[in-house]
Amino acid sequence: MNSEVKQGDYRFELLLNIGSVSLLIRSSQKELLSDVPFQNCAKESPITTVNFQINIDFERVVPEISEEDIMSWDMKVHKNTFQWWKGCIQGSVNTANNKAEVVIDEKILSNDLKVFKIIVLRALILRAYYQALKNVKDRREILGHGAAITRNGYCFTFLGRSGSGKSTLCQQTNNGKIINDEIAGLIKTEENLYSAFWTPLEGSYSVPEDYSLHPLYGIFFLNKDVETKIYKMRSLDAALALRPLLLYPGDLLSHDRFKVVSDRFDMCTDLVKYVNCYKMLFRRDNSFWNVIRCLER
Amino acid sequence: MLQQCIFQNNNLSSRIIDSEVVILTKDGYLHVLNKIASLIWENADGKTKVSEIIEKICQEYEVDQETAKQDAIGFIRDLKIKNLVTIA
Repeated sequence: MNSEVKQGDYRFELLLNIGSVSLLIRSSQKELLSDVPFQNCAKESPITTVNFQINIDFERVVPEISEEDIMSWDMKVHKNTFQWWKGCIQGSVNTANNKAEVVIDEKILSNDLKVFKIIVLRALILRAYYQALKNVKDRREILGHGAAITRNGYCFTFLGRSGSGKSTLCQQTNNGKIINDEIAGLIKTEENLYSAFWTPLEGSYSVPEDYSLHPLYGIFFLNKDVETKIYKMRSLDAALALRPLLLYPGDLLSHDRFKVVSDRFDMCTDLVKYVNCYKMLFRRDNSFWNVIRCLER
Repeated sequence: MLQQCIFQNNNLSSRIIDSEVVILTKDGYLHVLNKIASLIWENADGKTKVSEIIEKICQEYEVDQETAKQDAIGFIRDLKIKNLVTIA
């Protein structure tokens, strides 16, 4: 730690807007914020309804940390406090003022554990996002691992793991607007309508901020193949395909991991009930838009 | 077993999607049941005997008694091993 900086001296700040949630991340360590995997926009979102603050401090909280400890993924919760990964991360949440105090073992700042710092930050940010949403009535926002593109008045969401072709697909889109190429926001509005929205969680493309909601035409589950084909999916198959592609729908203080699992699955089943879902085999050229055009008719 | 009833265990929940049952367990696993398995699951109410469940399978799916019996008992034993049901 920088000897000139006192513990609890959160002089460095990062503002991260995700949908309607504005996350203010404060830390005594500048290099922590510069390594945040999702780059921020500094402006306030015009649709912000929830502000959440995370104060991150560093200490030597456990005598020895191994990669195995960090990847153990164990989580302990007691009242408003939580402890992850065998104590590597500890903290508390004040739900009355939407603030979390987090202590991360300072060894995670070291170069040999740098990749875990990003994992830790990613997990913390996304859990804080869902924690913030818990206090907002009737908000059912979901983050999906995928790209969202509007074209001819429709919004298409393409979901898939890293390497499935999301960025390639965006590159092949000439006549369309890319909302996001890595993490697409999805939200249910009135009358059982799902829309996509921009998030600052970008991949290869840096797109302008866009806080409008884009009604979904459909969700396409991407797989690379030698030929482009699109198949309509049954609701059950779509819900099962969607489940691993939703990001961290659990909150910081969930005592009940079973409820987290159930809530996550209910999000999936509700979405596929109202949105057409397709399996898309993708040849890595722009022929897929011709196939989708046939669906539109 | 034929005169016994089966009970869904408390440590899980289920959903019906596209006429198929999906069971969610406490440790995060999903079990997807086909239509016949879903029928067995829906009759795991603690009141319907296994013999009655087999009869329903025969009527619904035009399967002979012996085949339905072997399949149903095998499936119920599998559910028991996975701690999804209790047999009493």
